[in-house]
Amino acid sequence: MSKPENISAIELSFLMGQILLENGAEISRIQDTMERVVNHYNVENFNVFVLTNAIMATGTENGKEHSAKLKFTRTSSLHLGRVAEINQISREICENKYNIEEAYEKALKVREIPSCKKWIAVIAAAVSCACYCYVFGQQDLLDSLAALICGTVLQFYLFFTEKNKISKFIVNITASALVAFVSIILKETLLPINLSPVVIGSIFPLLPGVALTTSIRDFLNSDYISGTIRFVDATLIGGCIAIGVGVMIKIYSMLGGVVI
Amino acid sequence: MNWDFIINLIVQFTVCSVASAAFAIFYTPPFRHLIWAGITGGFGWVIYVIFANYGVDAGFSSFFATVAVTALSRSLAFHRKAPITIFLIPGIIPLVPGIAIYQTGYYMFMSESSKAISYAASTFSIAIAIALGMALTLSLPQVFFSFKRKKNL
Repeated sequence: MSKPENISAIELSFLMGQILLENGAEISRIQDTMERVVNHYNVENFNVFVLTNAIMATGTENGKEHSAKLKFTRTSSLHLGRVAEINQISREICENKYNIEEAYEKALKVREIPSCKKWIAVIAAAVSCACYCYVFGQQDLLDSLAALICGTVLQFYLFFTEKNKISKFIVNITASALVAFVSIILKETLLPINLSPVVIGSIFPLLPGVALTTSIRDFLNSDYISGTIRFVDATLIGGCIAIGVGVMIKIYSMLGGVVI
Repeated sequence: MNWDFIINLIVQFTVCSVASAAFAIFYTPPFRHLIWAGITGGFGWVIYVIFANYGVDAGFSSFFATVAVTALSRSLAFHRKAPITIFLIPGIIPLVPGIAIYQTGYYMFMSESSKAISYAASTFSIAIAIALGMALTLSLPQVFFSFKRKKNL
């Protein structure tokens, strides 16, 4: 990036809003942040409208009218580090620490904060699956071990689908089926485990907890459109998981397996 | 309330905290908040277990646990100067009805439709309980969670 010059306050607020949207912040936070930034730099007639995949903003700065719109951000995967960082910048802008150019550069740098490294993600998935399995099940260490394996496999599969850009529904159905499959194999060959807790623990990374939380918060702030989009998303993901797991277990029980 | 139960709670709290912190790593929060994010998760789950242990049904237990998680997240967000999302999401994740979704799928394909429907209803009631709990706690005035700033950024 070349060094930015003559950045308007609206462009700055727009960039910050865009980064927030891309990283899964809720709608009211985006609107609030953008308004705080422009209010600090004395922009008049500022109006902003945010949806889950678009921002539209207009305003008058130094007698000149600016308008900006972002058409579509497809992937809004959650990246809390970037959200927190933008939050921090807007806080510091309100404390008068930066001029516009400095803030703009800072915001550009936020974009380059890396996502979580792959091997860390695998370890995190495995550990959290194992721990959730332990808590939700009969607190059996063998179950947790199985969930650890399932979680690792699941995470590798998720990386594979991410690379090949497979549709979200297929990913959820196949991934939950895969989890069920791996735990059935483990049960039949190696470990005397309880199937249900292992599967429940291992599907945790797939569950739409984030979509549900964000959707509720959008509803609360009267952003009904965005809330509905995310709620439908959460419901469909839940349905896909149920189908994926159900199919595998049905096949297993048809082959004579006993599910406990 | 006996000692076994309390020890069990402490174990569950620890394990669930580790799980939530590990889960939070996916969303790459700033490292300094990670421990607190985990603790929020463990705290919510323990509240849930306590209520469930006294025979309260899953929906109500989730509701109270969500209220606790959200209140804790709000005060953490204020005192640690971070967006509330960082604590809220790892806190809510253990309460999301994974078990109910699993049971729904299971009974749906085992051709036991009445059980499947009852578990689907349970899934939705838990989701709605979480929504209501969060709604209630998020709309309380900030005064309950802090004494200086008016609004969370």
